[in-house]
Formats: sequence, structure tokens, C-alpha cells
Amino acid sequence: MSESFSQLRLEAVTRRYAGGGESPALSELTLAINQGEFVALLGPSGCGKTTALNCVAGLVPLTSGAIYMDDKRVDTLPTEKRRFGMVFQNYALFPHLTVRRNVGFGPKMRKEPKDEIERQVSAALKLVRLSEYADRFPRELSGGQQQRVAIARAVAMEPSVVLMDEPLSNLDSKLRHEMRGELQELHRRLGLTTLYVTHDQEEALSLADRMVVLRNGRMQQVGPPEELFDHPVNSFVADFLGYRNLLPAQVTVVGDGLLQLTGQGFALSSRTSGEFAPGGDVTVAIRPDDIVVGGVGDTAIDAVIEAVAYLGKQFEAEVEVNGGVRLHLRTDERLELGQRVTLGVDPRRVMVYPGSAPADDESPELASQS
Amino acid sequence: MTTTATPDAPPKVALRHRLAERGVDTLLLLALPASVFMAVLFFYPAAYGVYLSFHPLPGGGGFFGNYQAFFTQPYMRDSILNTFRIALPAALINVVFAVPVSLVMRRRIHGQKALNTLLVVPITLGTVLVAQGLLIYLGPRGWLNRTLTALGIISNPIQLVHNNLGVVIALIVTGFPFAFMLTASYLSGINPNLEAAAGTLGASSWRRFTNVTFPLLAPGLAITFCLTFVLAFSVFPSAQLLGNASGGAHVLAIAAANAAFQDYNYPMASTISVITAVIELIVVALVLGLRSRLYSGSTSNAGKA
Repeated sequence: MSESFSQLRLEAVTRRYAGGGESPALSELTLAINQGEFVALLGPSGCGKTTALNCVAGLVPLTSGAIYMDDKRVDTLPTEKRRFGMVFQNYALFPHLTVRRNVGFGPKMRKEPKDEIERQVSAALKLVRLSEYADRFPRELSGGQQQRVAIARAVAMEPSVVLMDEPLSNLDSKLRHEMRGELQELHRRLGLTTLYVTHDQEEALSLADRMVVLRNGRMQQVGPPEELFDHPVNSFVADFLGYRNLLPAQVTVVGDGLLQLTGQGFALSSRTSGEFAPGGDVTVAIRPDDIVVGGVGDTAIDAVIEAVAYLGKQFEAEVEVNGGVRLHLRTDERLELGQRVTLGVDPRRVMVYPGSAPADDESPELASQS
Repeated sequence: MTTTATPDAPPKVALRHRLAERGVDTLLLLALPASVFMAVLFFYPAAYGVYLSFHPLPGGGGFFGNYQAFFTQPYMRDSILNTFRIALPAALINVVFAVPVSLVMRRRIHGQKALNTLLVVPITLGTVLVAQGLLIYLGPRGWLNRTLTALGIISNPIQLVHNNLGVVIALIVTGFPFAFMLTASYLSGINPNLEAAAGTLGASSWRRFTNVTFPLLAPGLAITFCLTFVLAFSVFPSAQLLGNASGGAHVLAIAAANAAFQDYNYPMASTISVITAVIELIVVALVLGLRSRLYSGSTSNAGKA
């Protein structure tokens, strides 16, 4: 089996590209991954997540920092000595080799005896249910099958850590769902330590034991999916995890664990803990499905439905509040264009962050962050 | 060409679409001037040359007289061997050196543009200029020999020109840029992630090259070899200026030129040209035959992008 270790540690890993301006692609990422853990690096494109993965794989040298496997320093080792399996976004299967020889590439490079290679290859192919495709060439397989070959190839070398770079992003949505299930199953069966890069929050939420959100090369938050989902530390993480409504507001009353807020044409209360003073500018973050049509408690925001889309089970609507602010909401209720509604939000589901969001609520970039 | 549509076919299909269904496109007409040009200036002279080669001058024998003469005269026969002695090393050296150079140039290195220009410039110089330059530089009283003598490395000038070596050097100077540019473009078509993947699977940089890059590059190298070989095999100006033309060791092109312009034997010159062309075709066919046994599909990725 794979080399046993208890922890893969990234210590202040920094990567600066030549001509990449003053801000590094990855800045002082510190992270400890326990054996058997599934950690997802999540962020928009350009956030440094792939750079982080390439640093761990040894495909890109660190500008500073270090990577350890327990006490052994690995960032100074060349890629081929690290024994980390990697699954690439575009699979990177060797087009001139059959599936069998693709999967057997790792064992062959390690100069394993022939029957041992054969054993590992058939075990890996069985795992991804592609045994009968062993003699095909990669071009003769579908995208999903190619992806499974790529996974089998990474697993066949019995790696200590598996690195996956957006492995599902080239698949259509149905296949992506299926493969997500297969990855989960594989991880459960093999207990492989996995570092997984994605820009898809759903993928990260469903697969990871812990998630790391990156932005502009800096770590924003790390923790179990529920924690990030329910309590994003800042408006960027909130925005990235589906808090589509980011609204500028002001604190009016602080007290009793309850914050009273007003914005353009709306008043809300929030149970967010944190240091807020009356009169302070804040950003309010609310998930579309936390907005309740009909109002909650004493929260009542009047709005007009501006756009509705039927999603099969739910309705997604864009509404305009009296003050001109636009909100996104999701509800089971049938909504009509131009309809007047009263909206409310449970104070526990209203996140408040210091600083004001920019006027453009479509932009994930927040003024308070710069 | 165009047959009338069957009676039960939809009547309103435009002629253009019906032609397109059969792979006929009016845009093909644009190829007409080039085809006429090729016919008048290449195919006709080539065919005429073949015709001439079978019609020896009076007293030159029958239908195959010229070919008999060619293969019975040692002077002529040896020119084939001598051309191979020049063209084969030149083409091989060009291809073999183009690989590491393009591998290095693929990385982002300092002064890459300057180096690229330096490697490609000899193409613009023309063979006569290169030959003349080499004659002066490498000659018995050239800079190279004088420097080496002054440094005490050699006592007598080394003979680098007026022999096959000189011709090979000239063919490398003029042929290498072609080989390099071709190889570099084939190499740029290989997805760098494939090598990265091989690395993560435990392959050292040498094994990444032998197991991944080289097999994917090999079909391109075969084409590169064919082109540089054909260029080298039909060498004339470099051989005339740098070779040992008077000493008997000459290439086919010189033999043909001598037949035409010294002996005024056009049919014999044509014969030599035809033989040159046939040998080139045989070599190209052999190399392409070997190439067809290699993997020659997409090198960017396994399947779709």
C-alpha cells in the first residue's frame, strides 16, 4: 500500500511569477492535511488554487515557504520523487499508449516486475469499471471514460497523496454528477488523502471534509463545508458560497445579540456576533433561499417582482425594493412578474460584514477587501 | 461532373448545394491559376525531362541508353554514393540537433527572441553567401585555422573546405533553421501537461522524453528529416563552391550540370535529374513507410480538447 504518513503540511507556501506584478499568485498558504482527509481548494479563476496544487505536485517551484510530509521536507524533491498522483483537468492521458499502458505508466517508471504491474493495472481498472477497455486508445473513449482512466492512472501508482485539478469541469452536468458520486465512493474505499481544486462550490461542499477558500492568492477561510456555508468569514467567501445578495447597509441599533440594520428601502435584523457600532457601514449577505415571501417576524420588506425564472421545482426571482436595491430570491411559491410582495429573512440567516459593498451587486470584488 | 437530379429529388435544391454534396465547391476555382502555373512550369518540364532521358543523343544507345551509360560509368555511379555521403549526415545532424535546441527554446528563457532570430537568420542569407562566407572563414588561411594555429592547438591548417565536410557544414548552416522551425512547431503541438503527468507518475526528465515526448514527436521528425534530406540531396551551389568538384567526388546535381553545360548532353543531364528524383522519392517513401508504423494522432490531448 501507499507510504504511510500522518500529515501533509504546507507552511507559508508562496509562489510569485516573473512579471506577475507585485501580488504573488499564491501568498503564504499554510495548511495541514491529515492522512485520509479530502480537502478542497475553492475559489474563482486566478485565485491561486491551481498554483497551490502545482506547488504541491512539484510542477512549479515555491518562491518561499516549505512543504512537509510529517518531518520530511518534500518541496525540494523533484516531481518524480514525490509520489503524488495527479489528475489533470484535461486528463493528460498519453495519446500514443493504450489504456493499459497509461495506467501502468507509474508502476513501470518505478521498475516494478511485469506481473506486479499487471496486477496493479487490473486492480485500478476494475476500480473505475473499465477493465474491458484496457486495450483501447484514449481517443476511443468518451470524456467520462477518459476521466476514469486518468483517475485509475493516478491511483495505480499507489500514491501517498492524490492531487486533482478541476477533474470534473470538462464533463457535462449529468456526467459530472455521476463522477462526483464515484469520486466519493473511491475516496471512501481507498481512504486516499486528496487535495482537490475546484471553482464549483457544490462540488467542494459535497466532496470535501474540509474546504479552503482562496482569493487573489490568499486564504480566506478554512473549515468543514457546513461551517463555511453557514458562517462565511467575509463577504467574499459569502458571495462565493452562494450569498447572492450583498447589500450596503448601516447599523442602527446594537444590543442583546441582535443587530438592527437599515439600507436603501429596507430594514433588517441580524443575529451576527461581532463588533459593530451604531452608524457603522456594513455589508449584508443573504442567500436567495433564505428570503421568505410573506415576511418573518417584524421584518417586512416591500418589493416588486422584476424577473422570474421557473427552475422546475422552485421559482427564482429578481425583485426591486422601494429604494432601488435589487434582491435575488428562491421560493416554492408561484410568483408573477410585477407582483408586489413582502419579504423577510430569519435574523440568524443574515450575515453582516464591516465595510460597504460596491454598488454593482453582480461583482464578486468587494471594496472592503482591497 | 454534374448529373441531373433524380426526378423524385426535391426540386428546389440549389445547384451549389447539390455540388457541395458531391464535394464540389466553386471556391475550388481559386486553385485554378496555381494549377495552371504548376502544369506549365513544373509538370510539363518534368515530363519533358523524363521524355528526353529516354532519347539519348545519336550514338548514345537505345531507349535505356542513357541509364545504361549512367550505371556503367564509375564516375556517374559514384556520384550517387557521394551525394548520400553528404546529404545523409547533413539531414541527420540537422534533425538530431533540432530536437534538443527546440526543447530548450520551448522553455521561457532569457534572450529567447534574440536566440530565435539568430537560429533562423541563415535562411535569409542564401546558399551562395553562406558558401562564400564559409570558404573564407574555414579556408586554409581563414580565421579559424589562423586562430587555432596561433593558439598552438594545430600546427597545420585543417582541411575543412573543398571536400565533403565543407559541403556538409554549409548544408547544416542553411538546413538547420528549417529543421529547427519545423521541430519547434511540432513540439509546440504537444500538450506540456503530458510531460507533467509523466513526472507525477515517477518519470525522470530523460524518461519523460523517451517515453512521452519523443514518441509523440517522432512522426514530425520523420517529415522534418524528409524535407531536410531532399534539400540536401539536391545540393548544388554549396557543392560547387565548397566541394571537391575537380577531384572526382561530386554530387548528382553537379554531374547533371556538367552533362548539360560542359558536354551539351541534355538527355544525359535529364537522366541524372530523373535518377536524383527517383532516389529522393524512394528515401521519402521509406521514411514515410516507417512513420506510418508510429503513433500519428493528436498530440495535444488524448481525445477532444
